[in-house]
Amino acid sequence: MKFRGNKKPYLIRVTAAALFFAAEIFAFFPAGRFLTGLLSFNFAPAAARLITDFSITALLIVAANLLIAFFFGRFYCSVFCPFGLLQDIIGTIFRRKTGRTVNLPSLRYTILVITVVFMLAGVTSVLRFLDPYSNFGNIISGLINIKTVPVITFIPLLIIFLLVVWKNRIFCTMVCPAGTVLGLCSKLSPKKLCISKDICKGCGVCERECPTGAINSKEKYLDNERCIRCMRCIAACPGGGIRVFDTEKEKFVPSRRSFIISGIVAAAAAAVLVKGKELAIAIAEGLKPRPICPPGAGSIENFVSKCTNCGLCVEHCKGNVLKKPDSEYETVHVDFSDGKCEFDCKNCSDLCPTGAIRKMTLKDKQNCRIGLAKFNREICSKCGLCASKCPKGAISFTPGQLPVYNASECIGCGACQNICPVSAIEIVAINTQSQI
Amino acid sequence: MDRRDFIKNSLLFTTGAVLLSGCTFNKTAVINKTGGVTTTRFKNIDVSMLGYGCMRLPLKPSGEIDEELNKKMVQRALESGINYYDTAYMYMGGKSEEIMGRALKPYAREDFNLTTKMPVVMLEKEEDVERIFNEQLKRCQTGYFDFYLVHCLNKRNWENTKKYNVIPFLERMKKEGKIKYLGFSHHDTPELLQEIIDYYDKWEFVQLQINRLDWKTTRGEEQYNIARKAKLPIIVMEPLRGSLLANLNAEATQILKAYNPEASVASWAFRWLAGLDGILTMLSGMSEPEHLEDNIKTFTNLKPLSAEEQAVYDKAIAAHLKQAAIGCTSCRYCECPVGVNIAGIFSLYNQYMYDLSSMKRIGFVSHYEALKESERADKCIKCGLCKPKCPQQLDIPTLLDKVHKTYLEVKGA
Repeated sequence: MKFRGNKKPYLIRVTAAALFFAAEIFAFFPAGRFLTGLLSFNFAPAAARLITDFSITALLIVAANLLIAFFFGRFYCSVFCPFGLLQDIIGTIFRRKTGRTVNLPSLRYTILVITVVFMLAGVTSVLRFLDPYSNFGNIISGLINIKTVPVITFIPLLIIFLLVVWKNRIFCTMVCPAGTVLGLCSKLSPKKLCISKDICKGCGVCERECPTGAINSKEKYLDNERCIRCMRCIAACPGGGIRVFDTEKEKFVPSRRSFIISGIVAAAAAAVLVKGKELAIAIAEGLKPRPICPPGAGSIENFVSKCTNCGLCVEHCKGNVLKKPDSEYETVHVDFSDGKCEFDCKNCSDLCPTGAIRKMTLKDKQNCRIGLAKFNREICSKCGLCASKCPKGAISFTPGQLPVYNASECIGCGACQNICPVSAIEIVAINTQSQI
Repeated sequence: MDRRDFIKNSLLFTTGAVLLSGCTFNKTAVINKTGGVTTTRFKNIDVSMLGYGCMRLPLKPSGEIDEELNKKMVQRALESGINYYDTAYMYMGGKSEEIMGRALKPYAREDFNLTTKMPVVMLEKEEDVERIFNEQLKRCQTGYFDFYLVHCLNKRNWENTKKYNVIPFLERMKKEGKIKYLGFSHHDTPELLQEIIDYYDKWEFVQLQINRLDWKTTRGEEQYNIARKAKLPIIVMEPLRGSLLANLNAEATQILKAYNPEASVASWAFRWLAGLDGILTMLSGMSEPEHLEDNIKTFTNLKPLSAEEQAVYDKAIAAHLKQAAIGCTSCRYCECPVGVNIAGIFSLYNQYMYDLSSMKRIGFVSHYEALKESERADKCIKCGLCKPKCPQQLDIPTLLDKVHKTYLEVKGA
């Protein structure tokens, strides 16, 4: 890549992006626990949180993202979004030039409307396939657990790889609902990045460098809705013709066709909105067998309709009981074969960026029942270990006799199952979590 | 089209959609009274002897509540003079209040008595009482309740009632006009009933489980006598013991039909109750229009059983009781945490036990296997959380075991 223009903005942006990217990856490792707060700045999960588990913080994050996009453009996409940066890396490796590319506003708006409606209907898990952060999380946690996860975990990676090789960051301008929202903000702004008609000689370098196809060098037009502010064009332009200008607002003129299409989409969307809850239940009922959910998930129906499968909780689970979707369960789930749900840990509740796992106090988490123990009294060896390990004192034991289980105190943490030398205890899933 | 047009069109479109999607005008529907079920006098109002119970609303084959059918049935009930509607926070998985609120919305509020109950079993802190009460007003779309009960009092719930100051709060609501009459429903021993009555002297009525089956076996008679002595009008719940008394076994049914082929089995149970003094109303959860029609027939000119009929009924009940059955009333308060369909399983078992036909084995096995695997009796993990919740004090895990063993035996045979 030859940069003949002002390289400074580009270098600053790349440096910042590299730092953020490194931090965002590191946040998925146990040692990076202190960096996880950074991930909650991601736009789509914060928006999901407004619906699933409202907090002022989430509202501020969403507002900050929108304001930044309005005043400065889609810097989120070029500096912060881990999935976008992953695409940049792939694109750099393969040295793809995008050139002029298709602009399909109706497609991205349709995807956005569908996403928003699903979210309003309470099915925020629609982001599992569309939100860049969740996809990135899924890929990273998949790579960390590469030995155990099924191959299908990497389908998003494959798809994005192919998309990048085809048209660089076309995902960001054609599919990504977060990008579409931020793009609209950027489009509405009076301050825009433009090509100066006086300086530009129409050499077309900028158009070739642009990863989103936002530049039409012939018409000397830069589409601020799709521009992700990667600064490549500024670095490439030999004359310094790309600058920030005050412009008139663009006219918003939908064609009759797009009007009809948007009407149909809105009607379909309304139908989804009405049926959303049933849909969530239908999805959850399709999950067999029913998994145990992390504390704070509420119920399997709730969890399945909210979790976007970013895998952050899985990587930070102290007891190593949270597992990624596998061939048996299609969602993040609790599996006690490698450990127990640590009594004093509530990382999953603290970290979940989408609110699929509710924020809880430690006391609430310690009283949150996620399962119940099933005893096989026939094979019990009467060793009493389960009683000694139960953090809630729900099992009492007199030597020589079968342990006595008091289910009303049990939260299903799996400590007993984990310690039982003869596998006589199994924690079974319950339909709805409750505070005991 | 420019932006202004676009926005205008969108606004029109949205408004239209909203209007179409169920914005009904607030109009009071007129009740065309076509008949009149027998009523009793309570204070200064007439209450129909038949109460519309909302713990068993009509269901669609898919298992969800058939709201449209319920609306029609409510209309029919109002037209027949049924003016007592009994719902509760917990009924139908918490949906009953909302559905009844919508069903009764079209009618003038003074034309019916609406009853609901404070679910003391769910209380975790004192603030819950007010929160739940306000939620109930909202769900029922009403400003007040005619009758209000402290729900399902047993030892534990009575402790909760005192601990969270439920009675003082409800008394306040009464002063504010949000409750007209205050009472409680009771599901424990006569001793506790006495204690509750003695604790508070302003109870205006009591809801008891009285029916021919519970009269002797679960000390129903003693409870009835205590309430009579305290001069409290009695609302009868479970008059059919969760439809058990409407579906007596073949031998018992034969005895009743031989005496009077016209009368339904259920009508005998209601008329038996009509012979008791001090009954304010009897709550019947009518899950099918036929139940409603049959009940309207029974309650129009409700007559107690004659001495001769009484003897016939006793004989039929004796024949029925010869076979063992499970006294589950399908109230579904048990709410199995792992999802075992306790009430459904028990009802299948009872049907099997009361069925005398040669096909009963096949019927039982096929019905049982029609249950989802995750809902069957063998999925019970014997945690015992259901036991304290059961108003009938059934040992549910043991009974489930028994049903599953029966299933295996019947299937093997």
